[in-house]
Amino acid sequence: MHDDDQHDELIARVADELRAPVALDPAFDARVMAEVRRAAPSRWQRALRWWTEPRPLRVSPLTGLACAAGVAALLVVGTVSLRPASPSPMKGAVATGVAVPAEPGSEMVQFVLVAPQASSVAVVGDFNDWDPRRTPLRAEAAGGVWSVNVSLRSGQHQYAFVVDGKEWRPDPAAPRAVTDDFGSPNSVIVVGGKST
Amino acid sequence: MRQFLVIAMLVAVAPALVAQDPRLEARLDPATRAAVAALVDSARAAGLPTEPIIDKALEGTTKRASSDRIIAAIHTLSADLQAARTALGATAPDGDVIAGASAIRAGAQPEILEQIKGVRGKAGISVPLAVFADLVARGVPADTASNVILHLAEGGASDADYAGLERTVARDIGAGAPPGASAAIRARVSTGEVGAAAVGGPPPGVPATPKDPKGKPASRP
Amino acid sequence: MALGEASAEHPAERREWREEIHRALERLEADQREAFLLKHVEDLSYEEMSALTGAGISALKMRVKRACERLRVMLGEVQHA
Repeated sequence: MHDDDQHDELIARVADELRAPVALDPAFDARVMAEVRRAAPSRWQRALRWWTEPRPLRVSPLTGLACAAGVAALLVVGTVSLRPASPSPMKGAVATGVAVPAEPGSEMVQFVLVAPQASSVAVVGDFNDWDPRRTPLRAEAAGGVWSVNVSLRSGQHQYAFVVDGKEWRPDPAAPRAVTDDFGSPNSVIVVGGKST
Repeated sequence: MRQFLVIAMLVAVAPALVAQDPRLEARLDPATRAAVAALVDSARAAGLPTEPIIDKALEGTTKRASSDRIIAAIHTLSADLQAARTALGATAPDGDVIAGASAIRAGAQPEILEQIKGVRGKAGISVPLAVFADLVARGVPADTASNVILHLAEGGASDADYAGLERTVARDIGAGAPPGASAAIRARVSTGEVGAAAVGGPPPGVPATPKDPKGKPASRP
Repeated sequence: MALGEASAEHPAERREWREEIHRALERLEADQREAFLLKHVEDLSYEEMSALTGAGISALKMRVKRACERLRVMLGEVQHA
Protein backbone atom coordinates (compact mmCIF):
# COMPACT_ATOMS: atom_id res chain seq x y z
CA MET A 1 0.00 0.00 0.00
CA HIS A 2 1.33 3.41 -0.84
CA ASP A 3 0.12 6.61 0.63
CA ASP A 4 0.41 8.61 -2.56
CA ASP A 5 -1.51 8.54 -5.81
CA GLN A 6 1.42 7.30 -7.87
CA HIS A 7 0.71 3.63 -7.42
CA ASP A 8 -0.51 2.22 -10.69
CA GLU A 9 -0.08 -0.92 -12.69
CA LEU A 10 2.99 0.10 -14.65
CA ILE A 11 4.82 1.32 -11.58
CA ALA A 12 3.87 -1.86 -9.75
CA ARG A 13 5.30 -3.99 -12.56
CA VAL A 14 8.50 -1.94 -12.61
CA ALA A 15 8.86 -2.37 -8.87
CA ASP A 16 8.20 -6.10 -9.05
CA GLU A 17 10.83 -6.52 -11.70
CA LEU A 18 13.39 -4.58 -9.68
CA ARG A 19 12.66 -6.63 -6.59
CA ALA A 20 12.97 -9.96 -8.32
CA PRO A 21 16.32 -11.71 -7.97
CA VAL A 22 18.32 -11.91 -11.18
CA ALA A 23 18.00 -15.47 -12.40
CA LEU A 24 20.74 -17.10 -14.37
CA ASP A 25 19.71 -18.57 -17.67
CA PRO A 26 18.31 -22.01 -16.78
CA ALA A 27 20.01 -23.59 -19.79
CA PHE A 28 23.32 -22.26 -18.52
CA ASP A 29 22.65 -23.70 -15.09
CA ALA A 30 22.08 -27.10 -16.66
CA ARG A 31 25.36 -26.90 -18.59
CA VAL A 32 27.35 -25.89 -15.55
CA MET A 33 25.78 -28.58 -13.41
CA ALA A 34 26.50 -31.20 -16.08
CA GLU A 35 30.12 -30.06 -16.20
CA VAL A 36 30.43 -30.21 -12.45
CA ARG A 37 28.80 -33.62 -12.19
CA ARG A 38 31.33 -35.02 -14.66
CA ALA A 39 34.08 -34.15 -12.21
CA ALA A 40 34.81 -36.56 -9.38
CA PRO A 41 32.37 -36.13 -6.47
CA SER A 42 35.10 -35.11 -4.05
CA ARG A 43 36.15 -32.24 -6.30
CA TRP A 44 32.57 -31.05 -6.54
CA GLN A 45 32.38 -31.06 -2.74
CA ARG A 46 35.44 -28.85 -2.62
CA ALA A 47 34.03 -26.54 -5.28
CA LEU A 48 30.77 -26.14 -3.37
CA ARG A 49 32.57 -25.38 -0.15
CA TRP A 50 34.78 -22.89 -1.94
CA TRP A 51 31.80 -21.19 -3.50
CA THR A 52 29.90 -20.79 -0.26
CA GLU A 53 32.75 -19.68 1.97
CA PRO A 54 34.81 -16.53 1.51
CA ARG A 55 38.36 -17.44 0.50
CA PRO A 56 41.41 -15.36 1.30
CA LEU A 57 42.85 -16.10 -2.13
CA ARG A 58 40.76 -13.83 -4.31
CA VAL A 59 39.78 -14.92 -7.78
CA SER A 60 39.14 -12.23 -10.39
CA PRO A 61 36.90 -10.01 -8.37
CA LEU A 62 33.55 -11.77 -8.39
CA THR A 63 31.64 -11.55 -5.18
CA GLY A 64 28.14 -12.31 -6.35
CA LEU A 65 26.19 -14.03 -9.05
CA ALA A 66 26.58 -11.10 -11.40
CA CYS A 67 27.78 -13.00 -14.40
CA ALA A 68 27.00 -16.45 -15.73
CA ALA A 69 30.42 -16.87 -17.31
CA GLY A 70 31.99 -15.88 -14.03
CA VAL A 71 30.09 -18.56 -12.19
CA ALA A 72 31.36 -21.15 -14.65
CA ALA A 73 34.90 -19.95 -14.10
CA LEU A 74 34.55 -20.11 -10.34
CA LEU A 75 33.01 -23.54 -10.21
CA VAL A 76 35.53 -25.01 -12.60
CA VAL A 77 38.44 -23.29 -10.87
CA GLY A 78 37.14 -24.67 -7.62
CA THR A 79 37.66 -28.14 -8.96
CA VAL A 80 41.20 -27.68 -10.16
CA SER A 81 43.10 -25.03 -8.25
CA LEU A 82 42.12 -25.54 -4.66
CA ARG A 83 44.68 -26.38 -2.06
CA PRO A 84 42.31 -27.24 0.79
CA ALA A 85 45.14 -27.58 3.25
CA SER A 86 46.71 -24.20 2.60
CA PRO A 87 46.53 -21.69 5.39
CA SER A 88 45.32 -18.17 4.74
CA PRO A 89 46.30 -15.61 3.57
CA MET A 90 47.94 -17.15 0.57
CA LYS A 91 51.65 -16.75 0.76
CA GLY A 92 52.80 -20.14 -0.43
CA ALA A 93 52.27 -22.49 -3.33
CA VAL A 94 50.27 -21.25 -6.24
CA ALA A 95 48.63 -22.94 -9.18
CA THR A 96 51.94 -23.11 -11.00
CA GLY A 97 53.52 -24.92 -8.09
CA VAL A 98 56.06 -22.16 -7.51
CA ALA A 99 56.21 -20.44 -4.14
CA VAL A 100 55.59 -16.72 -4.60
CA PRO A 101 55.54 -14.59 -1.47
CA ALA A 102 53.15 -11.66 -1.26
CA GLU A 103 54.94 -8.36 -0.66
CA PRO A 104 53.82 -6.14 2.19
CA GLY A 105 51.02 -3.77 1.13
CA SER A 106 50.11 -6.26 -1.59
CA GLU A 107 47.80 -9.18 -2.02
CA MET A 108 48.08 -12.24 -4.21
CA VAL A 109 45.29 -12.28 -6.73
CA GLN A 110 44.49 -15.14 -9.05
CA PHE A 111 43.36 -14.18 -12.53
CA VAL A 112 41.25 -16.80 -14.23
CA LEU A 113 39.79 -17.07 -17.70
CA VAL A 114 37.79 -19.93 -19.14
CA ALA A 115 38.87 -20.15 -22.79
CA PRO A 116 38.83 -23.72 -24.11
CA GLN A 117 39.65 -22.69 -27.70
CA ALA A 118 42.60 -20.49 -26.88
CA SER A 119 46.21 -21.40 -27.52
CA SER A 120 47.57 -18.60 -25.35
CA VAL A 121 46.17 -16.21 -22.75
CA ALA A 122 47.93 -13.33 -21.05
CA VAL A 123 46.76 -10.75 -18.55
CA VAL A 124 47.71 -7.12 -19.13
CA GLY A 125 47.17 -4.22 -16.79
CA ASP A 126 48.57 -1.30 -14.92
CA PHE A 127 50.69 -3.69 -12.86
CA ASN A 128 52.72 -5.02 -15.79
CA ASP A 129 52.92 -2.07 -18.18
CA TRP A 130 50.09 -3.60 -20.23
CA ASP A 131 52.70 -5.89 -21.76
CA PRO A 132 51.22 -9.14 -23.10
CA ARG A 133 54.61 -10.86 -22.88
CA ARG A 134 55.00 -10.37 -19.14
CA THR A 135 52.21 -12.38 -17.51
CA PRO A 136 51.03 -15.40 -19.45
CA LEU A 137 48.37 -17.60 -17.91
CA ARG A 138 48.78 -21.32 -17.60
CA ALA A 139 46.13 -23.77 -18.77
CA GLU A 140 45.06 -26.34 -16.23
CA ALA A 141 44.52 -29.89 -17.42
CA ALA A 142 40.75 -29.74 -16.96
CA GLY A 143 39.61 -28.17 -20.22
CA GLY A 144 40.30 -24.54 -20.98
CA VAL A 145 40.76 -22.96 -17.56
CA TRP A 146 43.67 -20.53 -17.64
CA SER A 147 45.07 -18.95 -14.52
CA VAL A 148 47.99 -17.08 -13.02
CA ASN A 149 48.71 -15.57 -9.62
CA VAL A 150 49.97 -12.00 -9.41
CA SER A 151 50.98 -9.85 -6.48
CA LEU A 152 49.05 -6.58 -6.68
CA ARG A 153 49.63 -3.49 -4.60
CA SER A 154 46.65 -2.17 -2.65
CA GLY A 155 44.36 0.09 -4.60
CA GLN A 156 42.49 0.05 -7.85
CA HIS A 157 43.86 -1.77 -10.88
CA GLN A 158 42.62 -2.02 -14.43
CA TYR A 159 43.34 -5.05 -16.57
CA ALA A 160 42.08 -7.35 -19.29
CA PHE A 161 43.07 -10.57 -21.01
CA VAL A 162 44.73 -10.92 -24.40
CA VAL A 163 43.79 -14.18 -26.09
CA ASP A 164 46.00 -15.70 -28.79
CA GLY A 165 48.09 -12.55 -28.88
CA LYS A 166 45.42 -10.52 -30.61
CA GLU A 167 41.95 -10.68 -29.05
CA TRP A 168 41.15 -8.17 -26.33
CA ARG A 169 38.94 -9.74 -23.69
CA PRO A 170 37.81 -7.99 -20.53
CA ASP A 171 37.24 -10.29 -17.57
CA PRO A 172 33.66 -11.60 -17.80
CA ALA A 173 33.69 -12.08 -14.03
CA ALA A 174 34.70 -8.54 -13.09
CA PRO A 175 33.16 -5.08 -13.06
CA ARG A 176 34.02 -2.87 -16.01
CA ALA A 177 35.90 0.39 -15.74
CA VAL A 178 33.40 3.18 -16.23
CA THR A 179 35.55 5.11 -18.66
CA ASP A 180 37.50 3.87 -21.62
CA ASP A 181 40.06 5.94 -23.47
CA PHE A 182 40.87 3.64 -26.34
CA GLY A 183 37.73 1.81 -27.36
CA SER A 184 38.72 -1.43 -25.61
CA PRO A 185 37.09 -1.73 -22.19
CA ASN A 186 39.07 -2.70 -19.09
CA SER A 187 38.08 -4.65 -16.04
CA VAL A 188 38.58 -3.33 -12.53
CA ILE A 189 39.89 -5.01 -9.43
CA VAL A 190 40.29 -3.25 -6.10
CA VAL A 191 42.83 -4.78 -3.77
CA GLY A 192 43.46 -4.21 -0.11
CA GLY A 193 41.56 -2.35 2.60
CA LYS A 194 39.64 -5.55 3.17
CA SER A 195 41.25 -6.78 6.32
CA THR A 196 39.47 -6.13 9.60
CA MET B 1 46.84 17.89 -39.40
CA ARG B 2 47.12 20.14 -36.39
CA GLN B 3 47.94 17.20 -34.15
CA PHE B 4 50.67 16.18 -36.56
CA LEU B 5 52.15 19.67 -36.40
CA VAL B 6 52.08 19.57 -32.62
CA ILE B 7 53.85 16.23 -32.63
CA ALA B 8 56.38 17.50 -35.16
CA MET B 9 57.17 20.45 -32.92
CA LEU B 10 57.57 18.23 -29.90
CA VAL B 11 59.84 15.90 -31.84
CA ALA B 12 62.01 18.86 -32.73
CA VAL B 13 62.25 19.88 -29.09
CA ALA B 14 62.70 16.34 -27.80
CA PRO B 15 66.49 16.13 -27.61
CA ALA B 16 66.47 18.92 -25.03
CA LEU B 17 64.16 17.00 -22.72
CA VAL B 18 65.12 14.79 -19.82
CA ALA B 19 66.09 11.18 -20.63
CA GLN B 20 63.14 9.04 -21.53
CA ASP B 21 61.75 5.98 -19.81
CA PRO B 22 63.13 2.82 -21.46
CA ARG B 23 59.66 1.31 -21.60
CA LEU B 24 58.59 4.11 -23.92
CA GLU B 25 61.71 3.59 -26.02
CA ALA B 26 60.91 -0.07 -26.50
CA ARG B 27 57.24 0.22 -27.37
CA LEU B 28 56.28 3.57 -28.86
CA ASP B 29 57.13 4.95 -32.29
CA PRO B 30 59.52 7.93 -32.19
CA ALA B 31 56.94 10.67 -32.79
CA THR B 32 54.53 9.43 -30.16
CA ARG B 33 57.39 8.76 -27.80
CA ALA B 34 58.60 12.33 -28.04
CA ALA B 35 55.14 13.74 -27.48
CA VAL B 36 54.56 11.51 -24.48
CA ALA B 37 57.97 12.35 -23.04
CA ALA B 38 57.15 16.03 -23.31
CA LEU B 39 53.86 15.52 -21.49
CA VAL B 40 55.59 13.47 -18.81
CA ASP B 41 58.09 16.24 -18.28
CA SER B 42 55.35 18.87 -18.01
CA ALA B 43 53.55 16.77 -15.47
CA ARG B 44 56.69 16.27 -13.44
CA ALA B 45 57.34 20.01 -13.49
CA ALA B 46 53.82 20.59 -12.20
CA GLY B 47 54.40 18.24 -9.26
CA LEU B 48 52.19 15.49 -10.66
CA PRO B 49 52.94 11.76 -10.52
CA THR B 50 54.26 10.58 -13.87
CA GLU B 51 53.85 6.82 -13.61
CA PRO B 52 50.13 6.89 -14.52
CA ILE B 53 50.97 8.89 -17.63
CA ILE B 54 53.55 6.38 -18.80
CA ASP B 55 51.12 3.61 -17.94
CA LYS B 56 48.39 5.24 -20.02
CA ALA B 57 50.71 5.50 -23.01
CA LEU B 58 51.61 1.82 -22.70
CA GLU B 59 47.95 0.88 -22.37
CA GLY B 60 47.21 2.75 -25.59
CA THR B 61 50.08 1.01 -27.33
CA THR B 62 48.89 -2.44 -26.34
CA LYS B 63 45.43 -1.51 -27.57
CA ARG B 64 46.90 -0.32 -30.90
CA ALA B 65 45.49 3.17 -30.44
CA SER B 66 46.55 6.00 -32.73
CA SER B 67 49.10 8.52 -31.60
CA ASP B 68 46.42 11.22 -31.44
CA ARG B 69 44.24 9.12 -29.21
CA ILE B 70 47.08 8.31 -26.84
CA ILE B 71 47.98 11.96 -26.53
CA ALA B 72 44.36 12.98 -26.00
CA ALA B 73 44.04 10.39 -23.25
CA ILE B 74 47.18 11.69 -21.57
CA HIS B 75 45.87 15.26 -21.70
CA THR B 76 42.68 14.13 -19.95
CA LEU B 77 44.66 12.19 -17.39
CA SER B 78 46.98 15.11 -16.69
CA ALA B 79 44.00 17.37 -16.13
CA ASP B 80 42.52 14.90 -13.67
CA LEU B 81 45.84 14.54 -11.86
CA GLN B 82 46.09 18.31 -11.64
CA ALA B 83 42.58 18.61 -10.25
CA ALA B 84 43.36 15.93 -7.67
CA ARG B 85 46.63 17.60 -6.74
CA THR B 86 44.86 20.92 -6.28
CA ALA B 87 42.13 19.35 -4.15
CA LEU B 88 44.51 17.33 -1.99
CA GLY B 89 47.39 19.77 -1.67
CA ALA B 90 51.04 19.93 -2.67
CA THR B 91 52.20 17.59 0.10
CA ALA B 92 49.69 14.81 -0.58
CA PRO B 93 51.38 11.51 -1.46
CA ASP B 94 51.45 10.49 -5.13
CA GLY B 95 49.32 7.43 -4.38
CA ASP B 96 46.50 9.63 -3.11
CA VAL B 97 46.74 11.95 -6.09
CA ILE B 98 46.55 8.98 -8.45
CA ALA B 99 43.56 7.49 -6.66
CA GLY B 100 41.97 10.94 -6.61
CA ALA B 101 42.45 11.35 -10.35
CA SER B 102 40.79 7.97 -10.97
CA ALA B 103 37.88 9.01 -8.80
CA ILE B 104 37.52 12.28 -10.69
CA ARG B 105 37.59 10.42 -13.98
CA ALA B 106 34.87 8.12 -12.72
CA GLY B 107 32.69 11.11 -11.87
CA ALA B 108 33.61 12.37 -8.40
CA GLN B 109 33.76 16.14 -7.93
CA PRO B 110 37.21 17.35 -6.84
CA GLU B 111 35.56 19.08 -3.86
CA ILE B 112 34.61 15.68 -2.48
CA LEU B 113 38.29 14.74 -2.32
CA GLU B 114 39.00 17.83 -0.28
CA GLN B 115 36.11 17.19 2.06
CA ILE B 116 37.02 13.57 2.70
CA LYS B 117 40.64 14.45 3.29
CA GLY B 118 39.52 17.11 5.76
CA VAL B 119 37.33 14.71 7.69
CA ARG B 120 39.64 11.68 7.59
CA GLY B 121 42.83 13.54 8.46
CA LYS B 122 45.61 11.09 9.27
CA ALA B 123 43.42 8.12 8.44
CA GLY B 124 43.99 8.98 4.80
CA ILE B 125 41.81 8.85 1.73
CA SER B 126 43.07 5.76 -0.05
CA VAL B 127 40.53 3.35 1.44
CA PRO B 128 37.51 5.62 0.84
CA LEU B 129 38.66 6.17 -2.73
CA ALA B 130 39.19 2.46 -3.30
CA VAL B 131 35.65 1.82 -2.09
CA PHE B 132 34.38 4.64 -4.32
CA ALA B 133 36.05 3.00 -7.32
CA ASP B 134 34.54 -0.36 -6.49
CA LEU B 135 31.02 1.03 -5.99
CA VAL B 136 31.09 2.94 -9.26
CA ALA B 137 32.43 -0.08 -11.12
CA ARG B 138 29.44 -2.03 -9.81
CA GLY B 139 26.94 0.49 -11.12
CA VAL B 140 26.41 2.86 -8.22
CA PRO B 141 26.04 6.36 -9.74
CA ALA B 142 29.09 8.53 -9.05
CA ASP B 143 27.12 11.13 -7.12
CA THR B 144 25.58 8.51 -4.83
CA ALA B 145 28.95 6.80 -4.33
CA SER B 146 30.57 10.15 -3.49
CA ASN B 147 27.92 10.92 -0.91
CA VAL B 148 28.25 7.45 0.56
CA ILE B 149 31.99 7.63 1.13
CA LEU B 150 31.77 11.15 2.50
CA HIS B 151 28.89 10.18 4.76
CA LEU B 152 30.87 7.29 6.16
CA ALA B 153 33.87 9.51 6.75
CA GLU B 154 31.74 12.05 8.59
CA GLY B 155 30.34 9.23 10.71
CA GLY B 156 33.87 8.29 11.77
CA ALA B 157 33.99 5.06 9.77
CA SER B 158 37.15 2.96 10.11
CA ASP B 159 38.84 1.23 7.19
CA ALA B 160 37.14 -1.96 8.32
CA ASP B 161 33.76 -0.21 8.19
CA TYR B 162 34.44 0.87 4.63
CA ALA B 163 35.45 -2.66 3.67
CA GLY B 164 32.32 -4.04 5.34
CA LEU B 165 30.08 -1.65 3.44
CA GLU B 166 31.68 -2.53 0.16
CA ARG B 167 31.26 -6.25 0.75
CA THR B 168 27.62 -5.85 1.71
CA VAL B 169 26.79 -3.65 -1.25
CA ALA B 170 28.60 -6.01 -3.62
CA ARG B 171 26.57 -8.88 -2.25
CA ASP B 172 23.30 -6.95 -2.54
CA ILE B 173 24.04 -6.00 -6.13
CA GLY B 174 25.07 -9.53 -7.00
CA ALA B 175 21.70 -10.67 -5.70
CA GLY B 176 19.85 -8.15 -7.86
CA ALA B 177 19.46 -5.04 -5.72
CA PRO B 178 19.55 -1.66 -7.46
CA PRO B 179 23.11 -0.42 -6.90
CA GLY B 180 22.34 3.18 -5.93
CA ALA B 181 19.65 2.37 -3.40
CA SER B 182 21.70 -0.44 -1.91
CA ALA B 183 24.72 1.80 -1.41
CA ALA B 184 22.62 4.60 0.06
CA ILE B 185 20.84 2.35 2.50
CA ARG B 186 23.87 0.37 3.58
CA ALA B 187 25.73 3.61 4.20
CA ARG B 188 23.08 4.70 6.68
CA VAL B 189 23.07 1.28 8.30
CA SER B 190 26.84 1.49 8.61
CA THR B 191 26.72 4.77 10.50
CA GLY B 192 24.00 3.46 12.77
CA GLU B 193 21.36 5.90 11.63
CA VAL B 194 19.11 3.12 10.51
CA GLY B 195 18.92 -0.26 12.16
CA ALA B 196 19.75 -3.19 9.93
CA ALA B 197 16.29 -4.58 10.67
CA ALA B 198 14.74 -1.60 8.93
CA VAL B 199 16.26 -2.52 5.62
CA GLY B 200 15.98 -6.27 5.87
CA GLY B 201 18.75 -8.85 5.73
CA PRO B 202 17.97 -10.94 2.66
CA PRO B 203 18.30 -9.63 -0.88
CA PRO B 204 15.27 -8.57 -2.91
CA GLY B 205 12.83 -11.30 -3.80
CA VAL B 206 11.23 -11.00 -0.41
CA PRO B 207 9.66 -7.55 -0.08
CA ALA B 208 11.10 -5.69 2.90
CA THR B 209 8.83 -5.43 5.90
CA PRO B 210 8.90 -1.80 6.89
CA LYS B 211 10.03 -1.22 10.44
CA ASP B 212 10.97 1.90 12.30
CA PRO B 213 14.65 2.28 13.24
CA LYS B 214 14.00 0.82 16.67
CA GLY B 215 13.06 -2.45 15.06
CA LYS B 216 9.33 -2.36 15.65
CA PRO B 217 7.01 -2.73 12.67
CA ALA B 218 5.78 0.68 11.61
CA SER B 219 2.16 1.39 10.87
CA ARG B 220 1.55 2.89 7.48
CA PRO B 221 0.30 6.49 7.61
CA MET C 1 1.47 -9.43 -25.45
CA ALA C 2 2.68 -6.13 -24.02
CA LEU C 3 6.36 -6.12 -23.05
CA GLY C 4 5.54 -5.41 -19.43
CA GLU C 5 3.44 -8.52 -19.18
CA ALA C 6 6.23 -10.86 -20.21
CA SER C 7 6.56 -13.67 -17.75
CA ALA C 8 9.01 -16.43 -17.01
CA GLU C 9 7.78 -18.23 -20.14
CA HIS C 10 9.58 -15.65 -22.24
CA PRO C 11 12.92 -15.04 -20.54
CA ALA C 12 14.30 -13.06 -23.47
CA GLU C 13 11.44 -10.58 -23.31
CA ARG C 14 11.76 -10.44 -19.58
CA ARG C 15 15.45 -9.57 -19.94
CA GLU C 16 14.57 -6.85 -22.43
CA TRP C 17 11.95 -5.41 -20.12
CA ARG C 18 14.45 -5.39 -17.28
CA GLU C 19 17.00 -3.60 -19.45
CA GLU C 20 14.40 -1.02 -20.47
CA ILE C 21 13.65 -0.39 -16.83
CA HIS C 22 17.30 0.09 -16.00
CA ARG C 23 17.78 2.43 -18.96
CA ALA C 24 14.78 4.47 -17.86
CA LEU C 25 16.03 4.57 -14.27
CA GLU C 26 19.40 5.81 -15.41
CA ARG C 27 17.70 8.71 -17.12
CA LEU C 28 16.03 9.92 -13.97
CA GLU C 29 17.63 12.58 -11.85
CA ALA C 30 19.65 11.03 -9.06
CA ASP C 31 17.43 12.15 -6.20
CA GLN C 32 14.25 11.16 -8.05
CA ARG C 33 15.71 7.75 -8.79
CA GLU C 34 16.77 7.21 -5.22
CA ALA C 35 13.39 8.33 -3.87
CA PHE C 36 11.55 6.07 -6.30
CA LEU C 37 13.63 3.04 -5.36
CA LEU C 38 13.34 3.60 -1.65
CA LYS C 39 9.57 4.03 -1.93
CA HIS C 40 8.54 1.46 -4.48
CA VAL C 41 11.26 -1.18 -4.28
CA GLU C 42 12.44 -0.98 -0.70
CA ASP C 43 8.88 -0.21 0.46
CA LEU C 44 9.90 2.36 3.03
CA SER C 45 7.52 4.90 4.46
CA TYR C 46 8.17 8.58 3.83
CA GLU C 47 9.23 8.96 7.46
CA GLU C 48 11.86 6.27 7.02
CA MET C 49 13.00 7.79 3.74
CA SER C 50 13.31 11.16 5.38
CA ALA C 51 15.43 9.73 8.18
CA LEU C 52 17.53 7.92 5.58
CA THR C 53 18.15 10.71 3.14
CA GLY C 54 17.82 13.81 5.30
CA ALA C 55 15.30 15.28 2.85
CA GLY C 56 11.89 16.57 3.91
CA ILE C 57 8.81 14.45 3.38
CA SER C 58 7.16 16.87 0.93
CA ALA C 59 10.35 17.01 -1.13
CA LEU C 60 10.50 13.23 -1.19
CA LYS C 61 6.86 12.94 -2.23
CA MET C 62 7.52 15.38 -5.06
CA ARG C 63 10.56 13.41 -6.19
CA VAL C 64 8.63 10.14 -6.21
CA LYS C 65 5.77 11.78 -8.11
CA ARG C 66 8.12 13.19 -10.73
CA ALA C 67 9.99 9.91 -11.04
CA CYS C 68 6.74 8.00 -11.59
CA GLU C 69 5.59 10.51 -14.19
CA ARG C 70 8.82 10.21 -16.10
CA LEU C 71 8.92 6.44 -15.86
CA ARG C 72 5.37 6.27 -17.13
CA VAL C 73 6.31 8.34 -20.13
CA MET C 74 9.54 6.45 -20.89
CA LEU C 75 8.24 2.94 -20.25
CA GLY C 76 4.74 3.60 -21.52
CA GLU C 77 6.33 4.25 -24.91
CA VAL C 78 8.17 0.94 -24.70
CA GLN C 79 4.98 -0.88 -23.92
CA HIS C 80 3.15 0.47 -26.91
CA ALA C 81 6.02 0.11 -29.35
